[in-house]
Amino acid sequence: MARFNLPRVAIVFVILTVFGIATMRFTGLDRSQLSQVEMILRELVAPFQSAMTFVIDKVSSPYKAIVKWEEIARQNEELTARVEKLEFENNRLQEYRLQNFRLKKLLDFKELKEDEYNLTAARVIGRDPSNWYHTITLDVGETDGIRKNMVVINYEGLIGRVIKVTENTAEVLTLFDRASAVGALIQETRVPGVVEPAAGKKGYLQMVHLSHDVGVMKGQHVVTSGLGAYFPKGIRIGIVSEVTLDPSGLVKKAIIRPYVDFNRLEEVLVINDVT
Amino acid sequence: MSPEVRVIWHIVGWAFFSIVALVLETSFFSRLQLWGAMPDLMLIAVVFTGLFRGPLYASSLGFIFGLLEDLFMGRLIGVNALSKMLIGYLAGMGKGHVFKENPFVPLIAVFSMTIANELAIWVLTQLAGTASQINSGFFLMVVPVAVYNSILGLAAYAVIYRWVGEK
Repeated sequence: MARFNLPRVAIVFVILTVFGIATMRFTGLDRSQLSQVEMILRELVAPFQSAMTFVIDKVSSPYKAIVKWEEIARQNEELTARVEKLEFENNRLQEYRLQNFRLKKLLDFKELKEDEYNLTAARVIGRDPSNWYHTITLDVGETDGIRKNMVVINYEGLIGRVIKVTENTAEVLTLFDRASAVGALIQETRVPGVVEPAAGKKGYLQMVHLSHDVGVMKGQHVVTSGLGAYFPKGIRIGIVSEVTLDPSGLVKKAIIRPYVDFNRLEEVLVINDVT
Repeated sequence: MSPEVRVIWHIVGWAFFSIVALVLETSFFSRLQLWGAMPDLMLIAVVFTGLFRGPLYASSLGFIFGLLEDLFMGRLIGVNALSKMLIGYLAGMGKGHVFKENPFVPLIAVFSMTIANELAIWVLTQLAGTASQINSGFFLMVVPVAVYNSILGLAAYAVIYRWVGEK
């Protein structure tokens, strides 16, 4: 190896050192932009880095799975449990959302009817085990001021009336029970009649005792007439879906599709008092 | 091989090595860490070059390699250039004083020079007036790097010996 002149080399070293310290001072972390040289170097190396990373990923991923199988299995278990938990939570939130939607409608209705009725909100906590179309059980009772024969509605329309009350529950006879009969009238024509469960037509009601010559048509609305002991006037019941003439030719029968979806009753309102 | 061709061959070889080392350090060894440490391939090359070719060659190489690293990282430009220049010089002083065939030579040289390099970086960052985190857990950070460098250094020793060794 060639000999070198020590003082000259020392001078170069000193210059380089001073230069190095100076550049260090001006190239701290707070620099706003890289120099051209730095950018070129990065651009030069980047494709190789990218290729190397690609190769490493391709080569290592199968081996990684083998080497880390225990960790992956554990992670899998954890993630599965997490997914189940989140699904449960999601379902719960969905329930809350729907409940919120229903309660809002109920509240709107309650506010709307505030001038007419004193209303108590209640939740449906049970149904008749033999056939839940007939009676439902509410989570309000005597302590909430509920009394026998109070009328139960929701924002869609009439549901039924209270037939039994305990301290904290109330059993409601719905419109579909055989024992139910509600004095009603066709809203458009004011034709009176009685609404009861439709014979042989599940999920429908029928309005009977209509004279053969009265104007009852499909699409007309049926509301309570206020005649009788329990139901106040003007509560929506349903819409006429079919009109049939009795074989005797003397009376008509209107089949009514109720406004209330009795399959999905969850929150209701009890009319405490008609103001 | 004529001396001129030999010089050109060396320049091309080191240029290629520096790019490969940068790529490996940033994309390969970054995923193959040992106790959270990544090796410094250029430092290993500088140390061995010092042992085989002396202080001038190794310190020049160290300065260029360090500068490349600094430019690539884009901050505190000069810190690695100066530290590696110093390491090249220190390692070069060992030329003619160590028995190169002894396998402990690369191990001890790389280990000690790695520690020295990190110390130099710490001192230089202080000189540059930059608040440095090297203080905290300095040895916890440096020792794994030194061990990693030593292991790789041992493996690479034969290659470097062949590449820069005097025949």
